[in-house]
Amino acid sequence: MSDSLERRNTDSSGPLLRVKDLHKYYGNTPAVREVSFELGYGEIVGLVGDNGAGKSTLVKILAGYHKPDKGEIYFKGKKVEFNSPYEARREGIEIVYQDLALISTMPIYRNIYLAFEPKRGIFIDKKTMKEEARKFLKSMGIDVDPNKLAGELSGGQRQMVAIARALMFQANLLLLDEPTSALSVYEARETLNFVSRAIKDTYRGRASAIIVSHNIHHVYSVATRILVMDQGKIVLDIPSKEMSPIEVEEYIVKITKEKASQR
Amino acid sequence: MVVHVALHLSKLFREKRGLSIFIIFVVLIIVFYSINKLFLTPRSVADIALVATQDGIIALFVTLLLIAGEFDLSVGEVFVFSGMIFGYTIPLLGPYLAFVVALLCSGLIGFTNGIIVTRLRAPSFIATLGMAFFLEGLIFVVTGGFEVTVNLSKIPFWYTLSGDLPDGLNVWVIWFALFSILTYFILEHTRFGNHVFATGGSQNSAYAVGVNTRRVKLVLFVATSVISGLVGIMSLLYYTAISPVEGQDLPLIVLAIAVIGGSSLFGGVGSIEGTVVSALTIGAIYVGLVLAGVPSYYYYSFVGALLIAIAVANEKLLKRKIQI
Ligand SMILES: Nc1ncnc2c1ncn2[C@@H]1O[C@H](COP(=O)(O)OP(=O)(O)OP(=O)(O)O)[C@@H](O)[C@H]1O
Ligand SMILES: [Mg+2]
Repeated sequence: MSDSLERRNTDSSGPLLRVKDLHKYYGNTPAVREVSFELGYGEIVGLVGDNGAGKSTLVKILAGYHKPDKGEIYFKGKKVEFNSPYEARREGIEIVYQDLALISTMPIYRNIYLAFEPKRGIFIDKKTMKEEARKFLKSMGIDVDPNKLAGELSGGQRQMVAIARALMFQANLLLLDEPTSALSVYEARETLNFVSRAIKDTYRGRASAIIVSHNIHHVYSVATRILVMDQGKIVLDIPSKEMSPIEVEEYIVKITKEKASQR
Repeated sequence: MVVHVALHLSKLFREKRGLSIFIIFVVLIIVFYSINKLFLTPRSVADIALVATQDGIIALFVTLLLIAGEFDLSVGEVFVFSGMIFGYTIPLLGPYLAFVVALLCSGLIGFTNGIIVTRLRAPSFIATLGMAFFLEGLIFVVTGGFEVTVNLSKIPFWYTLSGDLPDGLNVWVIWFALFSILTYFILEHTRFGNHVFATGGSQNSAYAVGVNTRRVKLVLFVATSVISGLVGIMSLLYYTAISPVEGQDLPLIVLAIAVIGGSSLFGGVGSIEGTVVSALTIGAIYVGLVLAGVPSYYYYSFVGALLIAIAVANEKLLKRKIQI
């Protein structure tokens, strides 16, 4: 996959990602509104907010799964309009979905390479797929046989494999939507540390990550910056050093209460 | 020891869904042979092949469609429709062009099915049932209910499509073998095959990681239709006639073959090996029952019982392996 990295020429003068005035409606309900922000190289952003705040919708737009109703996205210095998740992945955006994980009826190694299967002539190269998958999973501390069906894994194992898949393709932008929800405290910390190390060491400043989480404490350990969403808007955007996790939590509670009293 | 063997066997069955039909096939061969020694003569083998290959070729493509999570109830009417177009247009267009036109029409029907399912989001059951009725009506309007016949002397390529081989076999055996190998490699060893499994396993998850699930389904609907049209022409050439009602059982028989071979109606699971053995089994049952002196109506009951037994057993085994 090193060749795919080479192909992704990165123009590191500007920001990695620039989002301008993004909107997305489901019918009449606005899920994402007036969202604008920039993401520099090497940043790890914790995206937090209440249930239904629009976090998943936002990352799904960035991943090409949803099309925005309005707004612009600039990635690596050029304007992008993804028509499918495939196009976003080809540009170097990988995502771990909150609700769409692996395909239970397929082996792990086939899940990992789905849509980007290495080929030998006209056929897919199963041997390489199996070997590389096994190696990479092992490097992440996941001890599973890649020949097993994804449906045979536990919830936590599935989540780890999904994260492995996202990391394996050396993306420039990693989007992790609730990546630790099925993991134990220990696994969550190990996995997030792995992600953080990957951003810092493996990609050496060529990549950034957005980690969505309910658990502010989980993301705080690795995030360099915190974004808070509420009712589709970004209401807070600060470096994680400037506010403690408790303060962010209190902030979210406060706006949630205000919302409730307005009703 | 017994427990150990049982556990091992149950694991084997879970890993290889086509295995149950393979064992049934072997057992049936032995049973039919012990009832009537004529069962394994060249004549009977040729009869088995005739039944197995015509339905089997279509079943191969229906298997791919099933694995991708869809099915096609219009294959029988496409089979007749294509034969009809071919037979009727030979005087106008000559055999080669007529052949191309018939297959193009079949492909167009499949394309329409695919668009209705992938773009208009109708379930394939409704879309292809509607298409089957539509074509059936059209066929009766055009033919007036009469058979369509051809004169082989006007068709230079008839031998390639339905000629005789030694021992009462015909070239359908070769076509079946070729299409089996082709579909096997597509399914197991190409990106497209991987995407077929993914699309049927979970269309949303497959799309979300970059599989063009609509294109996978569209391609399969077109391929299934073209092949059904081709087999319709092959059948017309073999019998030199095709009747308007000939396609009525076909969609359900080929569906039965695929499911007996281990494909799941819920998508994501199935194999070409299973379908091949299943098609041969259906042929063997047909011929075996005749040779055993059993009235031919029992054929359907036998196939029906087998279908239910295997489908239920396979879903149980899969559920025990993974949570769906
Ligand atoms: N597919 C959908 N169809 C209709 N409405 C949707 C859909 N997905 C999300 N919504 C709505 O859009 C809004 C934002 O949802 P979203 O899933 O983006 O929130 P979230 O911040 O990820 O929430 P959570 O923390 O619960 O995952 C919610 O009001 C939700 O009900
Ligand atoms: Mg969410």
